[in-house]
Amino acid sequence: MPDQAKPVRGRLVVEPALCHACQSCMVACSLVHEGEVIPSKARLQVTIDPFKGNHTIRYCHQCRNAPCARACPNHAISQAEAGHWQVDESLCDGCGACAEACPFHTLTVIGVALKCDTCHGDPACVASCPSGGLTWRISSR
Amino acid sequence: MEDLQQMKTRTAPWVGQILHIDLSSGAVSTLPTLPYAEQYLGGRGLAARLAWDMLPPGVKAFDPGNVLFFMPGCLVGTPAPSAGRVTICGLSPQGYPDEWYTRSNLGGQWGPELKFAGYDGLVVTGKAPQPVCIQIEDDRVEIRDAAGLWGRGLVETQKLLNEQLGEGWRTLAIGPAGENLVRYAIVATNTESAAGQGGFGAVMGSKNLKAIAVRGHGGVPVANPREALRRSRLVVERILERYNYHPTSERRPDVPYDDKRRRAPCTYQCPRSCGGFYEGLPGAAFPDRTYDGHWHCCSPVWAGAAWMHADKGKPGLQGGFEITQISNDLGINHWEFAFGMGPWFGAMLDRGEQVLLDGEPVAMGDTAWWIALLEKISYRRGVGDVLAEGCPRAAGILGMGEDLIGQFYPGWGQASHWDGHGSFGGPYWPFWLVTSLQWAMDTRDPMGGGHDYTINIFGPASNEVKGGVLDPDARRRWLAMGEHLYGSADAVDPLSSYGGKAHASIVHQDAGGIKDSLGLCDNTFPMLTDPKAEDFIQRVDGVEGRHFEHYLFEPTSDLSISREDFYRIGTRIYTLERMIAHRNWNRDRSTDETIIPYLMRESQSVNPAVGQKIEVDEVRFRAMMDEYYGLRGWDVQTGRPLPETLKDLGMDKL
Repeated sequence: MPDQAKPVRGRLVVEPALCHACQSCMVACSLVHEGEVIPSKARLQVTIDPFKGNHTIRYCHQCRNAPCARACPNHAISQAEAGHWQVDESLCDGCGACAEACPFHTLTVIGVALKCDTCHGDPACVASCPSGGLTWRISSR
Repeated sequence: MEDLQQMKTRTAPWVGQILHIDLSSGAVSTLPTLPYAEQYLGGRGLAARLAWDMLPPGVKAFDPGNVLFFMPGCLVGTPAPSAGRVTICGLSPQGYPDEWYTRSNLGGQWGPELKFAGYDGLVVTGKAPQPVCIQIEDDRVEIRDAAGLWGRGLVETQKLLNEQLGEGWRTLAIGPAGENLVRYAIVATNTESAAGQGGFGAVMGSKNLKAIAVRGHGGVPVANPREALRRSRLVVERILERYNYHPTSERRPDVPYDDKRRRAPCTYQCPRSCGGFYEGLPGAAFPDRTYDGHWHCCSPVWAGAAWMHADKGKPGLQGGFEITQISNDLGINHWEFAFGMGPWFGAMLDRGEQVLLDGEPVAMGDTAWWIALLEKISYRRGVGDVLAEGCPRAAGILGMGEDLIGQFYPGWGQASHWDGHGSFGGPYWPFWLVTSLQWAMDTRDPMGGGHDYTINIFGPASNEVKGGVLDPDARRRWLAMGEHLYGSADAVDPLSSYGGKAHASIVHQDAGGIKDSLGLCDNTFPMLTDPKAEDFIQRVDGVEGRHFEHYLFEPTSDLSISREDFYRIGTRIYTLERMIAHRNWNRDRSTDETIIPYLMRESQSVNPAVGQKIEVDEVRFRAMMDEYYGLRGWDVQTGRPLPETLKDLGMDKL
C-alpha cells in the first residue's frame, strides 16, 4: 500500500463550458509523453460526439487517496515529491487493476498504465489549451 | 497485406505511405510518400503530383478511370494550429465546360485519424461492382458491403457506422445526391464539414463508394516536439488575438435560439471555433422534428435573401437551419443554391418572367418548397433531374434564363465568390481585381485555399484601418506594408487600379498551394497583416506572418527545407495543376479569358473612397493578364508554362 498521501501541489481544473473540443491537449500530452502525437495514448481524453456537438473530458484528478495506486498489485503507482501520482513503468505489468479502480475512467492500459503525471507540475495540456478550458490550479489539498 | 508493413518509413511529419485501394479489383497496396515529400509536401501538392501520373487525357469524371485523392496535409496530426484539413482531388463533374481536375477541402477529425492509422493519403481507383464502404483500422483495410447504407442520408450513414464500429471512428460519407450523380454532390464528415465544390460526392457515387471509416492507434512523428509545441502556442496566441473567437463569449440572450448554440471548431487542433453548433432546433416545415448540426460561414443565407422574392416571409433562422441540415443529409452543395440557382431564379423573376418548375411557380420564401426541391434534385425526380446537372448545364437544357447564367457564374461551373460581381461580390474595387484574376486562372472557385488576400488586405482596409487609409500617416504605413509584402504599394492601395494586382494574385495562389498541402485552415492562414501593429505586419517570435507556415513546419520536420525552397513549393504546385489542365484539356489563355464578359458587368459594391461602381476595362484586364503570365514564366500568348520555368522549378523531367 502507498504511504499516507501527501498534499497535491496542483491539479488540473476543467471548465467544460470553455472547452470546445479542439483536442490540442491530447496532442500535447501524447507528444511530450510518447515523443509522437498519439491521441489514443494521451493521459486525458476528449471524446467528441460530432452529431450532437457534445464532448466529454476524462482527466486524472490526482485523487488524494489514489484508488489506482491502492489497486496496483505491484506498487507501480507512487506519489512523487511534487505531489502527483505517477507510474513506474519498470514495475507495471499492464494488468489493468488501476484502470478498473479509477473512479473517473481516466486511466488506460496500452502495454503499461498510461497515467497523468501532471508533467511534474508543468502540464503540457494546460499550456496548449487555447480556450481557458483547462487550467492548472495550485492547491494545498 | 505484407507490403503495408514493409514500406513504412518514418520521416517526420510524414507517416511514410499512401494507401491505394482499387475498387474494381479489390486490391489494396501502398506507395511511399517520401519520394514526393520534399517537392510537394502533402495534401493538395501530393495529389497533383500523383494525378499527373494517374490521370491521363480522355478520362471523364464518372469513368472508373477517374481517381479520387483524399489527402490530409503533411502537418495534419502535428501540433500546428488548425492542421486537420484534407484536400480531395480528382476529375470534377461540376467542372464546366470540362470535367477537369480540381480540388476541394474539408475539416473534421477524419484526416488526422487517417494519419494515426499510418497513411499520408488515400487514393481510390476503379469502381466497385456493388455499393461498398471502406473500413481502415491501422493495417487492416476492408472493402465492406454497403447495401444497408445505400440510400441513407449522409449524416445518417455516419451515425449508423459509428453505432456499428464504436467510439473513435471517423467517417466520410455521401448522401443520395452523390449516389444519384448530382454534379454538385458533396463529400462530408460529421454534420457539415464538406468538400462542397467539385461534385466529388458524385464521383464517390459513381464508384459505388458510400463511405470511408477510419480508426488509427498509431502516431504522427514530430522532429522536435518541444519546439513544435512552443511555436504552435505562439501562433495560436496571434490567431486568438486577431480573430477573438471564444466558445461562449458571443452567446446572446436576445438572439433566438442562441441558448441552443455553442461554439465548436470544425476541425481538429483549431483554436478558433468560428462556427456554431445548434442542438435541438425545431423545424419550420416539420415542426415535430428537431435538428442538430454545425452552422458555418455562408449557410445562414438560406434564412433569407433579397433574391428570394419572398413578400410573404422568408425561412428565417429556423427554416434556414432546417433546409441546411436536410441538404447536408441529402449530400448536396449549399453554394449552388445560395449563390447560383436561387439568385438565378430571382433574376428571372426580377425581369417579370414566370419561373415554373414542373408546372409550379418557385416559392423561395417557403421552407417546405426548398426541401421538396432539394429532394427532387437529389433523387433526380422531374425537373430535379435537369437541375442536378448544375445551372450552367441546366439552363441550356431547360431553355430558361440562359442569358442570366453569366451574371452569376464567373466560370468553371461554379457560382460567384468574392470576385466583386455576381450574387456574392465580397470585396470592392480595386481589391476584387486580385480575386478575379485568381478566378480567371483556376479550375474552380479559387476561394478554396484562396480567401487570404481578401481577409488580410481588403478586410483591414475596409474595417479596422478604414478611415486610416486616407489619413496621411496611416496611409503611408499601409502602403509601406504593401511595398514590403508585395513589392508594390498598389497591391494594397484602395485608391489604386490595375497596378500590383497580378503579383498579388500569384502570391496568394501560391500561398493557397502551401496551406492546402500542409492541411491548414483557409480562413486563418496565411496571417500576413495585423491591423494593430504599427507597420500592419503580423509577427511572432521575430518571424513575419507570411512565414508562419514555414515557422510551424520547421520543428515538425526531419527534412530541412529552406524558407525560400519551402515557399517555392506553392509555385510548383500551382504550375503542376496548370500543366495537368493544359495537357488534358488544352487549357490555355483563350479559356482563361472567357471570364472577362462576366467581369465587365456592373460590380456589386462601391469603394467609399471612389464613390461609384467600376467595371472591368477589357483592354486593361488583358494587360494585367499579360503581366501575370510574364511574372509566372508562362507563355503570354498561350498561357502555357515555359520550358525554362519548368526547369527552374525542377519539373522539366515530368
